[in-house]
Amino acid sequence: MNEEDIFKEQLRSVFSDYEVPVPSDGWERLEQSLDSLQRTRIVRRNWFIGSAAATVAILLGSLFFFNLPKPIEPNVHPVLAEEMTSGEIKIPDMQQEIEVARSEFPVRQRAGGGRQEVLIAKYTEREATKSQIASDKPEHPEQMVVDDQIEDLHADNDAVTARSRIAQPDPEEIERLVKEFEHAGKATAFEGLSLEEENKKPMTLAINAKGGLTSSREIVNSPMTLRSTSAAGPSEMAYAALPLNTMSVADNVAQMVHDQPVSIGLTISRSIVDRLSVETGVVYTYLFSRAKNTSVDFQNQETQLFHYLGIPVNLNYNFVNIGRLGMFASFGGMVEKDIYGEFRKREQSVSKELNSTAQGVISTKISQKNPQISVNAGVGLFYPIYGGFNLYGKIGGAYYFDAGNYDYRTIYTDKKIVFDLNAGIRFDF
Amino acid sequence: MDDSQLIAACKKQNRSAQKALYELYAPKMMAVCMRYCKDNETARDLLHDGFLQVFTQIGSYAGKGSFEGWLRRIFVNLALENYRKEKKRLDFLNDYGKENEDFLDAPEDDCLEVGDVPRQELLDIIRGMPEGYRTVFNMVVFEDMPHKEIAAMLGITENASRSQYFRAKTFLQNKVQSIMKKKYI
Repeated sequence: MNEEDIFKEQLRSVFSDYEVPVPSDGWERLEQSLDSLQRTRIVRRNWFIGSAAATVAILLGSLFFFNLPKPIEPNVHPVLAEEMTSGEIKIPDMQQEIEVARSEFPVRQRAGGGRQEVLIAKYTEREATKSQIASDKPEHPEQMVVDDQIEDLHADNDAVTARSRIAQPDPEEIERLVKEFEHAGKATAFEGLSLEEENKKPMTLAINAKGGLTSSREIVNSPMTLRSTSAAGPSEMAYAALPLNTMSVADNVAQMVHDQPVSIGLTISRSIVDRLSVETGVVYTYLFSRAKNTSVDFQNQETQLFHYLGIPVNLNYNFVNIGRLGMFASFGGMVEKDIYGEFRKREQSVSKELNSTAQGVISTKISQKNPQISVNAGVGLFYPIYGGFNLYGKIGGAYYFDAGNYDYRTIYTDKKIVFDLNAGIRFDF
Repeated sequence: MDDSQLIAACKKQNRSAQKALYELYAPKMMAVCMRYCKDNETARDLLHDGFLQVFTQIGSYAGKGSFEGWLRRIFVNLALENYRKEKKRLDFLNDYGKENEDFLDAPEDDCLEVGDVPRQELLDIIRGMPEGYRTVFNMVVFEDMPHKEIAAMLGITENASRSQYFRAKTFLQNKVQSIMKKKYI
C-alpha cells in the first residue's frame, strides 16, 4: 500500500462511521412532504380515472346524441294518439267497422293478422286526418274514413287495391311504418341503432396512418444513454461506457425522450362471420429517440432512429351502425422487426484549464436483436363517403412485450403501453 | 426488524417503517450531505429531499448490493444536482481565492497523519475547499473513482483531474499541518 492509498484509507476510516446529528424537526418535515406527495398522487390518479370516465361518458353521450329516436310524425288524430299512448287502442266503433270490412274481404288477411290490424288502423287514421282537414269536420273523422274505406272496398271488390287507395303511402313510407310498427313498444335508448350490415362486401382494403398519443420523457441526474455498453464497438467503448457507469457521480442532468411512434399501414381484411372480420397487412413504423447528458463542462447528445416493418393480425367487430356511421372494436397483435436503424452521438467538452473545446461525433448503423411483439385494442368509427370508400378512425392502445432488446432503448422498451390514434380510408369490394 | 424487512415495509409505504429507516440512516447521510455542501442549511434541505426521493423510489431497489450504498448514491447525486441548480460553475481556477494560495505550497510533511485530526475539523477543512477541489476530492477519496473516469465525467483531461486532486490534497495537508502546529506550540 503506497502513501496515497494510506492517505485515502485514513480519510475513509475517519468518515466511515461518521454520523452528524439530524435536525430535530427533520422527520416531521419529511412526513409532511410525504403526505403532500401522497395527496398529489391520489389527485393525479383520480384525475386520470376521471378523465377516462369522462372520455367514456362523452363517447357514450355522443352515441346516444347522434342516435336519438326519430320522432314519430304527428299524423295521428289527437284523440287516437292520446288513446294509443295509453297503451291500448280503444276505438270500439272503428274497430267494429274494420272487423266488418275484414270479414267481408278476407283477402286482406295476411300472416300476422294482429299487425295488419294495427296498420289498417293507422292508415285509416292518416286518411281520416286528411279528410278532417279537407272537410273541416271535427266530429268522428275516423268513423267517416272507415266508412269511406268500406265503401271503397265494396266498390272495387279488391281489398289490396282498396287499401292502397285509402292510404296511398309511397314505398319508403311503408318501409318506415313497418319498421315503426315492428319496434312499437320496444323503444329503448338503443332505438335507431342497427346491428345489421347492409350489402356488406367481403373484402376491405385499407390504407391508414397511426400516431402515438403518448411519448416518453425521463429526466434524472444520473447519466443515461440510449445504447448499452454491450452494443458499442471496441473503439466506442470509452464513449459508451461513460454514461452507463451509474455508480459514477458528477454534476450531470440526463434527459431521455422517445417521440411518439408514427406508422403507415396497408391492410386487407376479410369478413369471416356476420360482422366479424380478420385483418392483416403490412405496417411501417418510425421511432425516434434522443438523450442528452449535460453538465457544466460537457454536453453529450444522442439521437437514434429506427424504421420498423410489422405484420398485424386483427379481429374487427362492427358492433353497431348508427345510420351510415358504423362503430367497430378491434383486437389483435403485431410482430415488428427493425429494417434500418441509426445511432448518432455528439459529444462536446470544455476544459477551462486548457482553454479548449473538444468535440466528437459518432454515427453508426444499428439494429435490434429480436422482433417486437405487441397486442393492441381499440374502438373506432367508419363512415361511407363514396361508392365502397369509407373514412375511418380508431383510438386505442398497444402493449409491447419485453423483446429482450436491451442494446438500444426505444419507446417499446421504456413505455410498455402506448396509446394511439389511427385514421385512414378503406375500400370495400 | 432488519434492513430487508424495513425496506419491504417501506416499499408498501408503511409510515412507521419509513420513520425507522430515516432514524437509522439519516445521521450517516447527513454526514455525506455535509461533505458536499458548504452550508448547513443546504445540507439539511439535501437530507430532506434525499429521503423524499428514497421513499418514492425505493421500489426500484432490487436488493442487489448494499442498501447503504444505494442510499448514498442518491444523496451524492442530489448534492450535485443541487449544485447545478444554483448555476455555479466548476471553475477550478477562478474560485480558488487569493487567500488560499499560500496553501498551494507543498506541505512540509508528505506523510501527514490525518487520522490525528478530529473528524469535525477534517470535515470543516473539506467543506472549506473551493467547489471544484471539493468535488474532485470527494469523488477520488470517498467514491473511489479513477481519474480517467472523473476526467471523462467532468469533461476535463485526466491530468487536470489529477492536478485538481493534488491541489485539494495539498490544501488539506497544509490546513492539517497548520492545526497540528497550533496544537503543539
